[in-house]
Amino acid sequence: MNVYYDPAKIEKISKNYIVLDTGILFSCSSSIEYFKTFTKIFAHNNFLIDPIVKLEFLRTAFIEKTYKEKSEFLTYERFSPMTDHQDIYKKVQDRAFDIARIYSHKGKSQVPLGDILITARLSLYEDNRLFITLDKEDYSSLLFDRVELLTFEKITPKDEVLEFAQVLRFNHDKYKKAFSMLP
Amino acid sequence: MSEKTRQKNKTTKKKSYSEVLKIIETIQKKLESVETTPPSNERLLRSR
Repeated sequence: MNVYYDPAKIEKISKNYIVLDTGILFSCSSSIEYFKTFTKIFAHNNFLIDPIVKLEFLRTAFIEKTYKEKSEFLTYERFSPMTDHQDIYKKVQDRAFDIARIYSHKGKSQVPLGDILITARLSLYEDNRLFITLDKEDYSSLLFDRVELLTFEKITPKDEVLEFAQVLRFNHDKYKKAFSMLP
Repeated sequence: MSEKTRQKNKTTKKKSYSEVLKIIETIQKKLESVETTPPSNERLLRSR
């Protein structure tokens, strides 16, 4: 599998925790080649699993055995669940209301609830946590900075697909500015 | 959450790289078999 990216940029973020979005988990869990390539590119990073991402990832496993396999996949030693307790949950919920208002006033009221909650949790942390997603619509430069863009070239006997993954950093200044502009 | 479930969650063993590769292999095989399974007669009839 060919992947096009800037190794120097990945090296710069090698000490950061990376929160994985659902699409990345789907790709990693369904292809040995993808998983090997992905974990090699981010060889020095540890990965975090957001509770909403975990729910999105597991909800499609309607066969009990698949659910078990996907749950076991999530216990990979380089994956850690993001801390979640009552206090954090309350902060995520409060922040989600503010982010939803910002999106709404910027004409982005269609952003799914799950993505708002994931963004809200990312916004609670400082700069050392990054987010990697295949989603081009719901995580924009309105609240994030784009750190790097990776292109995965998936070639099968039947098809040739280019998959774009963006590494993002939540920008607190953009958030504060957007929030201050709300009516 | 019951105490039993809580204990079970606490003791969940982390999977190594090679262990995870085996899990992915299983998932991948299932997906490939679904993708290559020809539609059944019943589905063909319904699509007419």
